[in-house]
Amino acid sequence: MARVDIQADPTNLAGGMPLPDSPTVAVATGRQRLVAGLRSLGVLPTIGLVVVLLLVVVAVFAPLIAPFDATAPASIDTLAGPSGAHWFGTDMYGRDVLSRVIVGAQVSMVVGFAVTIGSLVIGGLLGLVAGFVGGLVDRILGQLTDVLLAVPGILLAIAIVAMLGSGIRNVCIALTIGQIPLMLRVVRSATLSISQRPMVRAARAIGARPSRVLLRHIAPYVWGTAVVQCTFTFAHAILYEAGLSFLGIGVQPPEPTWGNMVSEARAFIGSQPWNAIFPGLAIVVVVLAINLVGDGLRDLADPESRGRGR
Amino acid sequence: MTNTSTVLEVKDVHKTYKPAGSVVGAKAAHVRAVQGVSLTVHRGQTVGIVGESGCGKSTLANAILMLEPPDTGEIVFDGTDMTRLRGGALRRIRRRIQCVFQDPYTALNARMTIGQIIGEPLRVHGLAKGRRAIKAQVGTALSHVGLNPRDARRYPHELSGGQRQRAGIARALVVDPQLVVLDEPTSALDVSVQAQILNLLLDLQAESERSFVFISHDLAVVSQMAHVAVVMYAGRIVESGPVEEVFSRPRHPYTDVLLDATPGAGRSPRATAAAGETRAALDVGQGCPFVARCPIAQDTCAQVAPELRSVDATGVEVACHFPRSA
Amino acid sequence: MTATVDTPLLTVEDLRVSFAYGGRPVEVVHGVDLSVGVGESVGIVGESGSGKSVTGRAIMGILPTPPARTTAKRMEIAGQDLRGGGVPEAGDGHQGQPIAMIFQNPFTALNPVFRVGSTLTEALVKRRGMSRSDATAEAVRLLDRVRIPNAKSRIRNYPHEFSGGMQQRIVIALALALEPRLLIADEPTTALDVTVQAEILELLREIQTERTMGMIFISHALGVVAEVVSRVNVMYAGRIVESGPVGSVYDDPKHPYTQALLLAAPKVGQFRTRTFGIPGSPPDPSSPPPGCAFHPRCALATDVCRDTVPDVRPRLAGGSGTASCHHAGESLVAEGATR
Repeated sequence: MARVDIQADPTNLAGGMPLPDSPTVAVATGRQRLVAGLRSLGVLPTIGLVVVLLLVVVAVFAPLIAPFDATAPASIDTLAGPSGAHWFGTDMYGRDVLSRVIVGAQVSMVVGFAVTIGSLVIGGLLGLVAGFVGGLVDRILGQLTDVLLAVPGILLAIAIVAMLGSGIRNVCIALTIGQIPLMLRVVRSATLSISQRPMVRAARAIGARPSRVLLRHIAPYVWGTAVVQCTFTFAHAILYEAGLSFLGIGVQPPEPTWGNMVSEARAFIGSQPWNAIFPGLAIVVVVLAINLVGDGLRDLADPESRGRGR
Repeated sequence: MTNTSTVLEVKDVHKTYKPAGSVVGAKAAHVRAVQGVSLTVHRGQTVGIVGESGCGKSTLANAILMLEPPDTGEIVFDGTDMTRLRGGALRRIRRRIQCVFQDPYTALNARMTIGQIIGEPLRVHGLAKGRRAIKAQVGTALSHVGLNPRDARRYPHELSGGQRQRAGIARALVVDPQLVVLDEPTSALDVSVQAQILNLLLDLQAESERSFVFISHDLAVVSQMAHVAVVMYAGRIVESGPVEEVFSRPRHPYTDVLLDATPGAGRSPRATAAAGETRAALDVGQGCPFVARCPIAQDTCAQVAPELRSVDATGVEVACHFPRSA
Repeated sequence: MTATVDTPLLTVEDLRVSFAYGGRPVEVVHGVDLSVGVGESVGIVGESGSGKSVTGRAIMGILPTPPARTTAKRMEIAGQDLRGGGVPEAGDGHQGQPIAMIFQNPFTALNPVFRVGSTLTEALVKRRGMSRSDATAEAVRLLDRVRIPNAKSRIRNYPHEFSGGMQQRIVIALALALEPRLLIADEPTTALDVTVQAEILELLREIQTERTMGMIFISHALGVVAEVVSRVNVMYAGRIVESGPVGSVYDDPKHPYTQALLLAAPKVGQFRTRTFGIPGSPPDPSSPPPGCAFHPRCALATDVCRDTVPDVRPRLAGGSGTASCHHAGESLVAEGATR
């Protein structure tokens, strides 16, 4: 029974999927494994996962999917409500809002993935080192983290973008800097607790180098926690990017992002709410979906919810 | 002591822990986990260290393994003081001192196969080159401890507790160490399985000149395994000597209390006035650490800490002002 | 111990417990018969997975249902039916509780945010209908009884301010506050040091005698059980394989599993010797071997053991106790099986 296997492996946190090297699982087909993984993830997180995957597909194929040009003004029909031709209506330049939301997804996804990968690599590595080495290194990183976390996230991002200039690359850099301390802290504490396990003492007693102990015995166990944190980073990044673009210091028009679309629609919010509602809804849906996935993964990773096969 | 060649010499080791979360100004006393412990392990010999929780036996094990190096004192292994070694030199010497842990489940990486776990020390020390050679040696090690070489492909959670501990022993022995520190190796196991593991350890020692440091809270297990028994209390050795002497004719009142309390030790059970709980050696002042629980304590005991000293020709050493004569 | 088996306090017949986690239910206790006389102390010994703790919890009625399912032909204490879950409150509800239970880890039984005095007083007010001031006095008396030094002031301490042994004493006091007629002690000393264990065992012996309270003492350690009980039940894979007076069972075990357990236990005074290790490990409850569950590990096993579950039969002609073995009475040592 594939369902039991998930529970049988107490270390399985990553993605809710059975580890491919778990032998009892290996006999199950790929489809069974997928079903088993989703079942242990739960209903809501699975819905979230589907939404996020759909959005990735939309972002990748945006130019093909978008029914109209997202940037070229078409002044025939401005500020129109939803219709058969323009499902989400048109904006003040007569551009199709649906097309702009679809293309805007690209920016959100790029920022989301870039910031997540950036903070995972930098914050994750620093967190591993801080938790494992401890001492002075840990104290210095800890205080830097505290300083960064003391500044409200959006202010920090504004300050960095103001220094570096606007544009998608600088937005990513600014948001990554803001997210690193969060990732660092989570990974550090996971590393600390894994380091206490007899398994790690055993690896040191064997005579393994610190690098081997860290990468072979600690990192795989921290991975699950880091993945959960990644989902929240992803959601934060999308939210902050929208915020920066809304404030006009993120990605610049006419390049559509959900944030600058809402910003542009502000003027007509009373008469023509469609323009703001659809990009706003896109933000809400994607952030909610990602958070659902994160919650599902966190429940899987929570030691209290897992039976330990002893 | 059949063989006089010394493998390990622990000399006057001290280890103090700062209490976690101590605040400046708080009068949190430092926990003196080990206070001036010295002992010698000869080739082919098992030294059994016995005591209750908080007596410092695990701290001592961690010190011998250099996992938690002592604050002061020397740990001389085969002529080398390990406390002076760092980095690569320390890692190289670890090949010759291996360890078996209490809980075979948490001491094995659940994401590695038994084969990878037992092969790891070989890889780390470059003792076998190539997959084939490692696989062959792992297979040999598995058969050696009574497991099937095919078990190499399995994961720890697929093995029973006893099998896991056998795997833990195979990992320790695969690099052919001179000394193995066994930290409560059977206390997580059922009685019937414990007997298998103890027998295995006796056999493994009989076929080689390996030395064991065997740490346990269970006097019966130590009695069965050790040549030399070392009784610890509050971070110090209170009695040590040939196991038959220490357990049949205890000189120290604490050893006597322990034996009384051990079910099935052939004594009629009685809770003595001396029973009570070992306080981690927080503050024993200058006197004997056992004074508060001792049935034969006198005024001197509260003022002067007794030194560990030889009292007769049997090789027993005892830290008591009024040792019982053998 | 003034065992009065003729007046049974607890009677359990054909107790069965199964657990269902999703799939097909797995029976882990297969028809246990147990009786405890007034003021009698009875032991259950067995290894992990033998069903000893589940048996205790089933009697106490604290197994989570579902997944657990408990059935029994009879399960009653002093005439009160215990089937249907939950220990009934005796009489008018101000008489305490007929059964109380203590566990391996005392800390989990004590609420960490309450002073131990409040926990005790609360129990006395609620379960015994005492007034606050009476309850406080009684709480001090109980703590005194379990030999907590300076009970009068210690009553104001929180659980974490006590050592493990002291916490177990407090839990025992809490159990006594309910004035139980039967105390179920599940590995109460396993987490404790030997010297502390000796004290707790002595305390249990005293209290049991002075209150003519029945006791079921559950442990994996034969030596510990022998110090507190007059009758012992040896469990293996969900069945009682041997039962009888403790001296008789330990001196002359009839079941090969009992023999093997006694041989396997290390003893002070056996220096540098191999003991008998029972081969293999206890069976997985979800796929027990056919026939006698012990046969794969038993040196005396023959074809009949592989096919047929042995009946419960008397240990000795005319004596008390049972042994469930096709080869009951044959000796592992005589068969040379211990080498």
